[in-house]
Order: sequence, then C-alpha cells, then structure tokens
Amino acid sequence: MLEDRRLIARFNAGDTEALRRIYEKYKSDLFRVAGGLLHDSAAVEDAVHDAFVAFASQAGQFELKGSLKGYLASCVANRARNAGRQDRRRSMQDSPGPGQPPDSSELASDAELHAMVRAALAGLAPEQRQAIVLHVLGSLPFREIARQTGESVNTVTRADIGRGLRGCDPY
Amino acid sequence: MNGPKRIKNLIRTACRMSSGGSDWTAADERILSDASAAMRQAHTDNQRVTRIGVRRTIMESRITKYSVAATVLVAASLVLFDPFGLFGGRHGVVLAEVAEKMNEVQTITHKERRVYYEVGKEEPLLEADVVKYLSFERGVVEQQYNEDGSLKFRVHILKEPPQIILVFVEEKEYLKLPLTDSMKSPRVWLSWTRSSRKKA
Repeated sequence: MLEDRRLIARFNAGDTEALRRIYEKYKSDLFRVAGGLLHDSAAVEDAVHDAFVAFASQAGQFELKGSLKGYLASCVANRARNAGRQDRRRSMQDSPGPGQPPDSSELASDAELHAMVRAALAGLAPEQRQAIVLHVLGSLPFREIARQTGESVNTVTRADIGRGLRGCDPY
Repeated sequence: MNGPKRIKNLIRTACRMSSGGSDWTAADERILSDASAAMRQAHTDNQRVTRIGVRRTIMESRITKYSVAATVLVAASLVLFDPFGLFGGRHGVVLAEVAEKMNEVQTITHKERRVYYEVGKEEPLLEADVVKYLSFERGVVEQQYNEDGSLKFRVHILKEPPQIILVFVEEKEYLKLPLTDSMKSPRVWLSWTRSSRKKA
C-alpha cells in the first residue's frame, strides 16, 4: 500500500518508470479479471489496454482512494463488461447455459468442465459476475469490491458472490 | 476442500486463458507504450492548467489586482495624454515646455510612493514604493517594491511593439496585453482588470 502511494506520487510527477512498475505489478491480475469476463484474447487485451491508458491519462491529478489494485481491476472489469455484452450473448448461445446443467457423470474431460464453469459464469447477472471475477480472479477482498462498486459489503457483495459461486458449481 | 473453495479453484482454472502471465509480450509493450504516451500528454496538459491556475491566483490577489489596475491606468494615461511625447501623440500646450526640456535627456528616473485604499476605508490597503524608468526610445519600466524592499512586480510599457508586459517576480509569471488607443478609456482597463482571470 505504501509502495503504491509512492508509485502514484512518482506517477503524478510524470515518472514513466513508475508507470511501468505499476503495470508490471498488476498486469497479471488485470488480465485475469478481463479473462474472466471475456472469452476472446484480443478483447481481453483491449480491455486491459483501454483501462490502463485511461488510468495513465490521469497523471498529474490522480488521487488514490482505496487500493490501486482494486481501482485498476474495477476499471478493467467495467471495460470488459461493456465490451463483452455481445461476446457474452454469443457464448451463451454456443455453450450450455446455467439453465441447462449437464450431468456431471457425463463429463469427459477437464476442458468440458471448465467450459461449463465459464458458461455458468457467463450466465450470471453482470454485477454478480463482475463481483465474482474481482473477488476470485482479481483477489480483491469484499470490502474493496464494495468500495469500488459503491455497494454495502454485507448486504450485497458477500451475498451476491456466495449465490454466484453456488450458481457456477457444475456438480 | 469445501464448496466455495472448490468452485473458486474451478473458476481460476477455467479462466486461466488470457491471464497474461509474467512473461513480457508484444501486447505488454503496446499497452505500456500507449499508456506512457497518454501519461506524457496528460502531464503536459496538467502543467498548462497549473500555470494558468497560478496566473489566476495572482490576479485574484486584491493587492496585485489594484497594483496592476494602477499600472494599466498609468499606461492608459501615457497613451491618452502622452505627456513626454513617448508615444508620438500630441501633448497639451501646458506640458509643451516640460516635454521640450525632457527631450534633452534620454532617460528619466522617477520615484513615488503609492498608497492604495479600498473605497470607504480609512486605513490604506497597501503602501508601496515605485520606481519608474522612462526612456524616449523604448518606453517605460515601472518597478513596485514590497515593504521589505524586495521587488513585487515589474511592468514594461513598450513603444515598439506597443504592449504592456507585467512580470510578477515572486511568482515567476508574466502577462502581456496590447497597448492600443482603445486603452484611452478608463472603462476599458477597468473591464480588463475585472476579466483578466479569463484572459490569463
């Protein structure tokens, strides 16, 4: 956290090395979050690209509220969610949706299991899906997700994630 | 493994695709390159905004505003009356003799003490020493000092090109405005000082 604050101070002063450090530090998380919401690798890259460039354009006046990782992950998730609406519809048509749970005994491979999980994730409500992706793939705590989404930790986020996770269970 | 943990692990494994590992790829280069360009642009823009902000702050200072107003009035009266023939205007008969004498010297130094009052108040807002250097070739330079003797600002009223340059020494900022016949009207310089925040 302290390191992030120092990086942000340098970033606001126009230090490109600080920008590179921030990217290196969080790029895996950002790609994971985008990858959880989008199925096309080019779209994933675009979502991370757009979110990070938008972040960089705030140099000089960026104010960090909460964690930097939470902020960046939420930006990526928002962009991925917007970009992925059409992709999501396509995925739901191509894959078995949450309303058609296959019999686990019929699972032939891990690939099919993973496809089921992805389809189940895709079938969740957008807000719920985003919260799960931020929590599971972005490793954000409930409090940070609530801060970024402006919702209450106990009443919305925790319950949403719990229900959503149960919805993704193929067994 | 309990239910939620097992599902979380499943999700992690299922979404491993496009997770952008630790290796540095062409995509990373593209993202970082575009972000760096955006950052540099933003930084330049923000600096510009900050500089304008500083000028606005300067012009919001009551003392500076009155000082500048007084200086612009001096400049306006120089254009209007041109008592020393600096700006090629016609001067009054009364001043003709003075002007003739002054033509013999090329540069004059003039010192004065300015006392600024706000309307309706007895106590002066500011007292300042002012030194002016009048050059028949170049124009006028006026320097106003703080009470501790440090230079507050310097004003250049130039003949060629006809313009006023205000240099705020402490703030390391300056403002330029054209010196035109329109400045003969006190209303013009009054409206200029009022709207200078926008012009800056």
